[in-house]
Amino acid sequence: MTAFSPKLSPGERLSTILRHIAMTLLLLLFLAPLIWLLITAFKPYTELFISPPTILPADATLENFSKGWAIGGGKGITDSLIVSSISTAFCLILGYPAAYALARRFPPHGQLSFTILSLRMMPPIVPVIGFYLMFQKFSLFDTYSGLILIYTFMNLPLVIWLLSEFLRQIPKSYEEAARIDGAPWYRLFWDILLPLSKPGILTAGILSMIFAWNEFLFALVLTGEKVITLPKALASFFLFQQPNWGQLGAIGIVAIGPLLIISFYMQRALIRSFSVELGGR
Amino acid sequence: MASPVTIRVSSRPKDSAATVRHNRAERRATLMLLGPALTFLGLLSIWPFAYLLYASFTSYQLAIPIPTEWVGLGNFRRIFASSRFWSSLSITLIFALVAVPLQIALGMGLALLLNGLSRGREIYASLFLIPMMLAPIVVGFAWNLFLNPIYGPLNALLRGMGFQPPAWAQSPDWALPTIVLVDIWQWTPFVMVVLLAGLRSIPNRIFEAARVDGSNRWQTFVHIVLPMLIPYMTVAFVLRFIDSFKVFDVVYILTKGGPGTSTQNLAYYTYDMGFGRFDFGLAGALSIVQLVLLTVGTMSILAMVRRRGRATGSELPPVKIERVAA
Repeated sequence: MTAFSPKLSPGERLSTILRHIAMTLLLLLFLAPLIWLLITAFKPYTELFISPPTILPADATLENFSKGWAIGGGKGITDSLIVSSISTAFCLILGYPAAYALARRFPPHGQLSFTILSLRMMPPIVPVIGFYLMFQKFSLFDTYSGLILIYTFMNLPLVIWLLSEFLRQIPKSYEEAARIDGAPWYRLFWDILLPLSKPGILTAGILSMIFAWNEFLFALVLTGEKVITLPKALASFFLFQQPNWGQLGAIGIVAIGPLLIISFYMQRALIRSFSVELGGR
Repeated sequence: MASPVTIRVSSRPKDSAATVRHNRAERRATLMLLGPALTFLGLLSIWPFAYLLYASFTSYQLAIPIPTEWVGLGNFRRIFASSRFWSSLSITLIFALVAVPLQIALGMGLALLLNGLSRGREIYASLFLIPMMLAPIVVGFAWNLFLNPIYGPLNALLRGMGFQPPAWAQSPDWALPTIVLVDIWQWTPFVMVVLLAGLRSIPNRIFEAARVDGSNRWQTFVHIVLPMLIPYMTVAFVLRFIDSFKVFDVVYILTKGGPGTSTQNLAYYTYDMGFGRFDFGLAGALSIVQLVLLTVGTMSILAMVRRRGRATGSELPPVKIERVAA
């Protein structure tokens, strides 16, 4: 049970080592599809369609990355970045004040926060027909602003909830002290609350970026030729009979690369974002 | 709520008037803070929902220029009469009632494995959690490559071992198990983390007491660990139940609902009706049916849990992920 104990018997030490070897093997097996994706991204075209396949590329190449960028990966990354970052900015701007009011003036796990969160439980296929008809009406179809609007809607409940949970942990005494000193509300906000809630804003912002970055159904239905986010770009290549998997693999790796790096810092928050509010009520 | 000290110390006669004024100001501030976000969320839920309701009671066809007529409950009648609806419903339920229990069983195994480690628990958990972070489209694509019947590594390996491997996503018999497998792969680690949080919440002295009483590992697991984890399993189950109605991307990229309609769940069926055939009346009605099913399903599960909780005095735990590391 001790995390650091120099007095392990040789038998115990061996069993610990064996356990770690077993875990590593299990992990490699588990991640095999992703490892294969990574390998494929470095294979030249001629090596893709061999049966049985080579395990490591005999003639590794970086060409897939440049070609993948040219055939639509670049456009996908740009569009995904535009849509996810702007929608995240809107989520934070709309969500922060709401989260503050929720944290300070409403009880935790109350009816209001539950109602806001229940929007997040809805499967995206349910509102998509209504969104599509709305998009036709207001000529939002295939526009950046349309998709940004939807992603803001999609992530706002989560952002409000995460931020309000965070703000609840900041003691009220800071604000009360500032108010006694006669600080106006914007000073209170700018000089006290905002610096204190930076980690919360970062967490909520990154999660909102990730969910917008990964989203597929809304992008598929609500955009056409002009706006092509990364998941949509990837999916569109499957219309071809024999897509160049190497190039798609390269696009896929670029699509998940940033997330892999972020994930190690964000995991607890991410899990919480999926665990919304069920417990403890 | 929290009246600032400045007002509390003001002279008594003015106090009540000031408090009233203060409360009114507080209320106005609350409204101004919450207003924009709630208006935005409200508009974007009510507006499309109104469209959806309207479409579901009409013969709205986008592709065919026939006049849109009020058909009442006609679309709903068409849905309940169609075998495709019932088969897609059963496929959605397979995700909820087969994939999710498997995820809980496998997640339990992984959680116990990780819990037994004295070091590196968090690193392993992080690596297992990678699939959860990724876009389902990329996950589907990775599995598409991995399971490719001709050029994929898995079938090459199986053939090398002398098996006759199936064509996975392209085979009518194996397509559904394949999609379920991908769902299990992506989401078991999440269940693992929830259960690991549960395991970490059991105080050590309980294990010690069990050991003193002479119970072996298996008895400890069945009689102590499992009952204490039931609330956590419930949380995992409810969350995954809700998410099982969202499965779409992986189906789209791996099978497009096929072969035939063998992997067409409710979400894909609705998509196909709406944006494959542009039968918005039917698709709208399908969306509403799904919403009702999901809401009723979730509510009744939660009600059941609460009733049991009141009887046994236990309640759903707040899932404290921080405990994984501790």
